Amino acid sequence: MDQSSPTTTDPPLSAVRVSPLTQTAKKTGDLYVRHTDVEAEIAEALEKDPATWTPKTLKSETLVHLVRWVRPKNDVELIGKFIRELGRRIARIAKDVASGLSKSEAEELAADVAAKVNCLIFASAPSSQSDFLEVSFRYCVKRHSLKERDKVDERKLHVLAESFFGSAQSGAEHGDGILGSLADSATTPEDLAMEAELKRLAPERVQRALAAITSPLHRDAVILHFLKDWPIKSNDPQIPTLSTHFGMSRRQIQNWINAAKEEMRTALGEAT
Amino acid sequence: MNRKDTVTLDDILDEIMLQEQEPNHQALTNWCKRYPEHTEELTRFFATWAVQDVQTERPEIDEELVASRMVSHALNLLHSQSAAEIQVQTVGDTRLHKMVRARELSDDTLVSECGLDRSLLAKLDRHLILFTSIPQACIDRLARVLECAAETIITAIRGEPIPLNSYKSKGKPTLRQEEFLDAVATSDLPDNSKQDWKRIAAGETSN
Repeated sequence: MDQSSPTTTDPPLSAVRVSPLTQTAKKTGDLYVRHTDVEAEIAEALEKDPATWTPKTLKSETLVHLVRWVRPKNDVELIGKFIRELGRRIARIAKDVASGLSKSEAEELAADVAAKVNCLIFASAPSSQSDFLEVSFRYCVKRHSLKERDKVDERKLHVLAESFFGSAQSGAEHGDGILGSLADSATTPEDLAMEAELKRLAPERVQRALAAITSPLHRDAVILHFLKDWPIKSNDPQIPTLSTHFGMSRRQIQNWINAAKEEMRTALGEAT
Repeated sequence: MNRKDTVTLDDILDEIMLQEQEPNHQALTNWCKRYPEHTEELTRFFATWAVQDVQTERPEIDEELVASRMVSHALNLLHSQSAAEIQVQTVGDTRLHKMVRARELSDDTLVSECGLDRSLLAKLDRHLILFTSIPQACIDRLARVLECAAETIITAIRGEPIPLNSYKSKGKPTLRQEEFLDAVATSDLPDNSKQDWKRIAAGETSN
């Protein structure tokens, strides 16, 4: 953060040096650096009178830097203007992970993410996470959005858990026979066909098929297995699987997928 | 423990966002092999990302509402930071219990949010726990709840042990610092919380 911030009434500076970021990426140990276009935009903004800054036209990383730059002067109006613009952008990014939520749940999620971003913007000392906001605002917000979404899903699961797992387990208990033998085998030919079909379908048909799955857990299992290539189970304990992720047996996961396949086929007009 | 080498889950997730174009299973497997102590969290993160990546139907969001709430939160944050700065200037130093008071939090709220108990909080406040043994996760949780930087927490909990003002003996008390996990072991935390701290500390040490 630039410590030699002029007041808003100061004349524009002729040659402004943008303070470098000070934290390192933990994995590589290299200092975080801003994109060159962000650096250039910050430098250009700092040469102008802050009263002329237009938040809508500035990159988010630049806005974050300028808010931090203005903060020591406690110019609440300017800070509010910039934060408001960042808030709108956070809402748009958070919306990308709000599928399946109601409007109010999605807004709540976005507001929670915005609060987290505020804490990073106004952190009294820089950290690698606060610096990351000036490296990639979008990735930072998306990462926080995904974490918040995970919390929302977790809360919803707790509410659903009793009734759902009750029926799933009773289904598993009574679902031996053909389903059971399918579940104990590796990926079935039927599953391979479904995977190929889903990957071949036009995006809107995929969405239609997924929307027809009534259980969110079944839907997640189908997406992860058929569209993101997650195995149901693996002999290698280091490989994440649907079974470890959901904490269910291979047979139970296969039952979920079988139930979902029926619903998808019906929705696509191929009822068996 | 070398604190500089400590990589938190949030640091890892930032790196993942920079490096991975999409949440495919192979990428998840690679990250889990690199950071096995975070396998569960990484798996959940990738699963959420993958599911959201595929589903394209989104609810409408009132952007102005979110923006207004962010402004309101920011102004509150600035106000409380100013109050805390004044408090720190007034007392001339930074102590954990003063930061809690400045944030208008109760000790109970703080310990419950951070997975600590009152004895651990008191020991941290009086520097009775060896700084190098304190997990980064503990520092991060305190920073999150107290809405300040991790470095501010470090300033507050590092240093020579602080005696109680009420100590009445003529001789100078000898204050002994203990390891974080020893303090956890003798705390009133439930067993599962004690196990959690052991696991967290082991995870950070192995990095």
